[in-house]
Amino acid sequence: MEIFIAQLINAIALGSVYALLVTGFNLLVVVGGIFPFAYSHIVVLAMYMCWFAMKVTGNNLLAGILSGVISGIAFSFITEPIFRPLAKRQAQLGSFIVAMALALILTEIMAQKLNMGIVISFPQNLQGQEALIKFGAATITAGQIATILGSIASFLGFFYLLYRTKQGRAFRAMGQSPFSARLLGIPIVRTRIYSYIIAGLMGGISAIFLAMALGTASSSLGDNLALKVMAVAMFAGVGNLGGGLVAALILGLSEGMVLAYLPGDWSQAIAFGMIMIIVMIRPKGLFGTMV
Amino acid sequence: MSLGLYYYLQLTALFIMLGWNLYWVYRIGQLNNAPIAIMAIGAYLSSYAVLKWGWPFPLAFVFAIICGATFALIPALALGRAPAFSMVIATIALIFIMQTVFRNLPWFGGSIGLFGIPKIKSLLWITYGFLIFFGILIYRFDHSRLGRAADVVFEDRDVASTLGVNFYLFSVCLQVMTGFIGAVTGVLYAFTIRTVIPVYFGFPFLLAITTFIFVGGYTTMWGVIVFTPILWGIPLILPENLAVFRNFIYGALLMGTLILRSEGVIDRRFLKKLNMSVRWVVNKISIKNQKM
Repeated sequence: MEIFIAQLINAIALGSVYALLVTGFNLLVVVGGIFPFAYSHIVVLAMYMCWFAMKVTGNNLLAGILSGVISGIAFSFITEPIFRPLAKRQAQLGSFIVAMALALILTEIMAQKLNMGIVISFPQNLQGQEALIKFGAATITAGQIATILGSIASFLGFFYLLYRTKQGRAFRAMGQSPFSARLLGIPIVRTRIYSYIIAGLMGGISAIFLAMALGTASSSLGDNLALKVMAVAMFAGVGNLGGGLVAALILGLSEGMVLAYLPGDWSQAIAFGMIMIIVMIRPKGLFGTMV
Repeated sequence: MSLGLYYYLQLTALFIMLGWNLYWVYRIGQLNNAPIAIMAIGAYLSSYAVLKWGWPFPLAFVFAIICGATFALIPALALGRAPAFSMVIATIALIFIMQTVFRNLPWFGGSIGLFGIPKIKSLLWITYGFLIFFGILIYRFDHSRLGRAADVVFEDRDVASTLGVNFYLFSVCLQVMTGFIGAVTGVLYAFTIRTVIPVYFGFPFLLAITTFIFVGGYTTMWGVIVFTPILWGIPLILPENLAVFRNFIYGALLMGTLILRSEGVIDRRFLKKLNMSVRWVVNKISIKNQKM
């Protein structure tokens, strides 16, 4: 029972990070008008920047966190002009292929140039491995609690922006119909740029939480994360912001439980098997595609 | 023939087949990545049959192809009506599922895979025989009523269905055909490399094949033929310190091509112009000959 509870907390923490990632991804799908496969690679690059800043500043936590978040925003913002012509043409499948190419380039940069391709390991003070709550053999660490609380705070902030501000209304209008949004006087390009910035912010925050949860990062992490994020998005229904949250938690829980109770590395097969079944039964996802 | 040239010719042919595989289903607007997973099935089953059961190569070949094509029917039936993105993601998921399955099943050698696959004489001839056969098949398809129906489906699925095209049946048939080609490619790949490990059939491999198609041009079958030998060959002749950036080069080329020339280098307009130029030159020569 103790192990189950420890795994459950771990799974919720992991699911919260997936949920953050999927929310940023879905924002780019809905508002950016693209299929951002490389979003997770940008997050991993932000993790590298966080690690680099901490290395340079002698494991300064604030420097690491700021560096991760700012680089997440900056990298996401830089990619906007690449996708702009494709978004204008509404070439979603084309944008997916371009994003795959961008992902390939980012992975190659990380594999060849950053830390000579060796796996990076985050300092202990970022990982927060010290036990805050103990029950028997199981413990809940500071990192896990920070991840769960930080994710909840990020979601609250994001949904406040989306449903309580003028910018949020512009985002939703763009999601419904970019053509109608233009007729209503919403600046399309500027709103798209804001969506990249907000997605970058969510990505930067996810990078920090991922660094806490995983403790390490490598160039191949981007591909793995990208597939999981897409899988969750597909599971919920591409572009469904609320559904993405629920689906991410389901994926985190199933992955955590599979890792705890099944031999071998079956977690990926289980996760992707779930996606296959959902796509077969409900091609538009469990909750359908909506803003 | 040197070993390097043999591998180059052999792998180029196999990559062209795989490229056609993806191209063929893309003709109806679906990006189906399942052939990579089916290729893994073909490679593993044929190698296993030869190594563990001692079957002769031809029997193992037929067995693997039947299994691969039959397996292709499952995602085909399930994903026949799926939206384009659902198919992309579901079939990428299928690649990862197959990788995980082969990695975790002990009788397929786990992460180490299967090795010591025997050498097959005249494999190059067999491979090029299949390449020509599949090439003719796809060419005939492109120039038939089915090819024209695929064009309509690509442009607008609803219009195609109004015109009487059964999209579901069309999609399922194409997916099973590409499953068949995928399995053939898998068997030939296993007996070329003579080792099968799960890592071979992963995401980077899919990206490389995608690059060959989308840079070459996905609206005709010729882009893959022209650009696969070039793109696959360039890293082989580059100095070692540059060759490690192969994926970087692929990524940059793919990105640049899709932004600047959305249908790839060899598109239908290019072929039309080429055709007109050739006709013009032929006409000129024949006029000159008549005057003489």
